[in-house]
Amino acid sequence: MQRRHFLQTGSALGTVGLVSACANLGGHAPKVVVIGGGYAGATAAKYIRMWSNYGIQVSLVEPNPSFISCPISNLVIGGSKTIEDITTPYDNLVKRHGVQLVRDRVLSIDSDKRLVKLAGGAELPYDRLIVSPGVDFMWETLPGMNKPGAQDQVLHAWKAGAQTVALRRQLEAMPDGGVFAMSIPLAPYRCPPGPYERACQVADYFSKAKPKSKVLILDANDDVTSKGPLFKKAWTERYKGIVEYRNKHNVTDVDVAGKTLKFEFNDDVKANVLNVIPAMRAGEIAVKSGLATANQRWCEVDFLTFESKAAKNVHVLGDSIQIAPGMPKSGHMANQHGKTCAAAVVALLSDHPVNTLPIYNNTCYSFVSAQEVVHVASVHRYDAAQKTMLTVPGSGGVSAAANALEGHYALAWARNIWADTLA
Amino acid sequence: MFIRRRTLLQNATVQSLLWSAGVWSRPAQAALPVFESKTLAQVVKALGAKSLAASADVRLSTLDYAENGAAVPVDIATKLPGVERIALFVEKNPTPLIAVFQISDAVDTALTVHTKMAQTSDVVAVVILSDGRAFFAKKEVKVVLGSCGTTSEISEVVDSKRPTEPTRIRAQLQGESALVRMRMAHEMESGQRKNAAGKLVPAWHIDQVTISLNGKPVLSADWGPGVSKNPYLQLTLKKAKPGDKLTVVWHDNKAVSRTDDMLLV
Repeated sequence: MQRRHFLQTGSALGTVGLVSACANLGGHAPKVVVIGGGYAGATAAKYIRMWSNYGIQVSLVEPNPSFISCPISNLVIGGSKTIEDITTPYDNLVKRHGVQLVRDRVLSIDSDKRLVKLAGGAELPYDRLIVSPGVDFMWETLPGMNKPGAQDQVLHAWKAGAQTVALRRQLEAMPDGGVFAMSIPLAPYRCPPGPYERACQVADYFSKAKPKSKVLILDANDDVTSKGPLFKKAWTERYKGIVEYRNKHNVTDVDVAGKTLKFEFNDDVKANVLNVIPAMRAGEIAVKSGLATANQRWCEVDFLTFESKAAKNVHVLGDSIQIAPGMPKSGHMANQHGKTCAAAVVALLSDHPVNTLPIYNNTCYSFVSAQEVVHVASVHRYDAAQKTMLTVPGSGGVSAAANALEGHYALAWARNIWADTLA
Repeated sequence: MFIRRRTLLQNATVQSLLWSAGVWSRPAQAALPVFESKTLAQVVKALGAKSLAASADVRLSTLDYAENGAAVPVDIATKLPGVERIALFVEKNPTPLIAVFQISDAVDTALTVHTKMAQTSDVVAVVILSDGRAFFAKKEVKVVLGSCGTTSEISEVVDSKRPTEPTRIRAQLQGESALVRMRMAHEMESGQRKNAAGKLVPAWHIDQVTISLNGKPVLSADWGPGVSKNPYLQLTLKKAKPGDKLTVVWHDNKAVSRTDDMLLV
């Protein structure tokens, strides 16, 4: 619908499309700045270029040299994939789609002057800004993790990259008979099933290479937050004697030197390798720009456009937002945010109506071993009365059991979404 | 026994006497009538207050958005003098009255409790003073039901004979006072949920709590089915020192009770 409107208007103004249309009308092409090149931001950057017929200028500000995927990164920890397997360069966004890639970090946003200030000193003006900085960790909740060097020893590996590789090395260095203890924060956090998949991946590695070792899951939540019966089945059957799950274990501090986790109510836990997944909030730039108005953690948005409820002409996407009911903080969902927002931004910058009924889906695969996978899927549709996205009744579903066929689907899903986001 | 409980709620002046008598065992009983109140006005009237007004002196802090309604932390605090009771009310819950706390001089008028929320609703904190005036503060909490295949398994085991688990108590001395946090182990089945066969799972929840310092009750509470599973409670003892004994007793509506204590260090 959006696209059709857009193209029709383009031809009404001539045969040149929006590029010259905008140039003629406003004297300059509209500018969009995107902060953060993850699943949401990179997708938005690409699709704004495509859907504006390359008429809108897009600058993508991203400090990392390439995109490293969080989905599939647990397989690097399990040892069946390498970090190279989950890394994609940003080249195609630049070469094929004309996105201006700015290797820098954003210092501040001036939403009155519509300017983004970069650490390198440059200033980028925008007509519309897209903020997709992912999550940051609430280190203030774990005093011991703020000591010098602590964060290099006790890893989160919850942003794929150097920590993913480093955690794998710690597991390789651990003696057989050791304990790997992973803590999970209270929901909401990035990727609800991710920690449970990681437990399976580590258990898979231990079962093959270090069969006397243990995986201890210390979950602040009342119960497994996603795919509970499927994960529990894997732990009690496939990884019997290796994985132990403990609920209601809320970590309040980490003794890094003593390799010990401390809890709100439970006894201390000492382990050979600690993996602390801290509580999370929206990425720092979103919080310090005043966009995180929900519980001072997440950014409230209008789900038709993803425009911030706190700042005009500023859109927030991906894991940083206050979710709608049933909406996970996932890579797939972030990609869908990116496209919905791209369509809305293109419409807004060309004075066209915004789609009033966005509908999109989420798919999430979890590897319970190196080959076998379980999935959960859902469809989300805008509800005009409640002004939010709601899951469509009867849509989606969950795997009946782990199976190898879905292992192929999962890897195909990854290749496809990387291409959709970046190629 | 039933009359005694009513008295406890209706007449604060005899409260301390009842406390010292000790409510250590009693038969199972129906919920207190005040928990059948559907409106804030009814609750306040049932608790014997003569007036009700909004007040900036009642501080209520809780989430703007709750990821799920199973356990929403609510902090209630006031500097108003002469507070006898603090009540928590969630307007759109099936049983809107969550809890009524009777406060003694030995504890700060500041509590944290975790409540269930059936849906997006106003959460209301009410304080009732010894002169019969009641003041409240309210805030809307939006309940966002979780993500990525969340499953909730309903426990169908309602076996009042099974052993109870200890209440976990943590106390932190801060000068003369002590911050006390506790988590009781209880299903807190609301009586509103249906099992896989579509049958209502009967209510089974803690309905009374007494906290004592060196044998002297400092806070007691009447709870409905709306307090979260494995109830969390935080309070501050005004005066505490190493060696003091803190005792937590709970009773539930199936005549189960449990007593745990700890020495402050």
